[in-house]
Amino acid sequence: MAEPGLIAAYLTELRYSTSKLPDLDDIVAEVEDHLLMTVAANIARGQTPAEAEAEALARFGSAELVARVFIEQEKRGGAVSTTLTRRAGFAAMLAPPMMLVGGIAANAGKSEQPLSGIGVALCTAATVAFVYGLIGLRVRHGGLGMFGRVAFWLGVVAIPVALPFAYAGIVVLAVEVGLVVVLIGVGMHRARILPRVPVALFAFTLPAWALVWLVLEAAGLDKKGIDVALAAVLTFGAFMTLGLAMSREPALDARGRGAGPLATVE
Amino acid sequence: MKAEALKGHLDLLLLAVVEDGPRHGYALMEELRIRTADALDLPEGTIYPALHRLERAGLLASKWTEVGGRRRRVYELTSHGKGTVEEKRRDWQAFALAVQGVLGPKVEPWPNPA
Repeated sequence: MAEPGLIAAYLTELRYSTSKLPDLDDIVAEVEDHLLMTVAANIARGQTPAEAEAEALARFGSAELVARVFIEQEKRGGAVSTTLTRRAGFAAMLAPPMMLVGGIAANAGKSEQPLSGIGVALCTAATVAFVYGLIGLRVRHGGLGMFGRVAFWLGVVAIPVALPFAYAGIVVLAVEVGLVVVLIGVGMHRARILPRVPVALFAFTLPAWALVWLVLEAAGLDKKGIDVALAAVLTFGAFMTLGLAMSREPALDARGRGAGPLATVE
Repeated sequence: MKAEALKGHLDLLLLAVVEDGPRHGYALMEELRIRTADALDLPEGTIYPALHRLERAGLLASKWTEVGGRRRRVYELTSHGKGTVEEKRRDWQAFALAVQGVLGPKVEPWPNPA
């Protein structure tokens, strides 16, 4: 037989178990409302208050279990995978190497060789893959709010805006892509989204570029594009690892259980 | 039907229920129970982490109301969530159709050896 006030004790335990979560008060208020509605429904069916509380808690799950699922979900951030996001992740993973190979081929083939045409085609495909990856990223994280929207459209117009600047367009493009990744990084941070590797690479790109630029400038050395190359490598790496993570999000985990919020439920 | 099979699709189930109109967590759980004919036998408290994650993902939006002196959170589908439900629904229908093609009623092999 349940003791009166059992729900209060349960909420105290839940509050303790989820004390590290930022929206703790909201969680407890929501759980309390649910439990009290269940108790009211049980009493309406003829149960005593004590029986009604006991059944409500039994149906709800232990505070330890509910807290564990909350914490697991918190780690997972706001990522919601769909077929589109998995395909977009694969495209995002392919975009950097395609752009790199395409650029090298276009340059090596000069303007009149077939190699140049292949290079241009690869660069064009890479641009499409890049934009598709961005669309997938928006879908996966619900757009990442205002930062995501700005980053998305900046990413879409980055190449057309950089084109009129000829060779200086490489720098313009690097700045634009840098802004895109910083904005995405901020959006991901705000949405508490894993995985960590691309987030760290995104966050490290601009500081690393600035640091190398400053060091080379202070030493009076010819930069030879080293600073831009470093930023490009980090950005490419970030985009590729993010794409890899997106493309590998399966419907089921390795143990065959759902990858949804109940994956932690034994 | 085993509950485990349904757990992996909880995101879609929650979104599909909210698609019909704003719901609080208790109403969501009750409707899930009815619409799955009690097949979704899971601890009720575990739907809330899912709802919060779907909100972080921008698929759901929530607002707080006050009912009988208690705070109550009500969820509704965002426009982004509607698109995701449609996509996940298409994925599921394609999957179900493919499995049904194999596990459904057997058809005579062609050419018929008889």
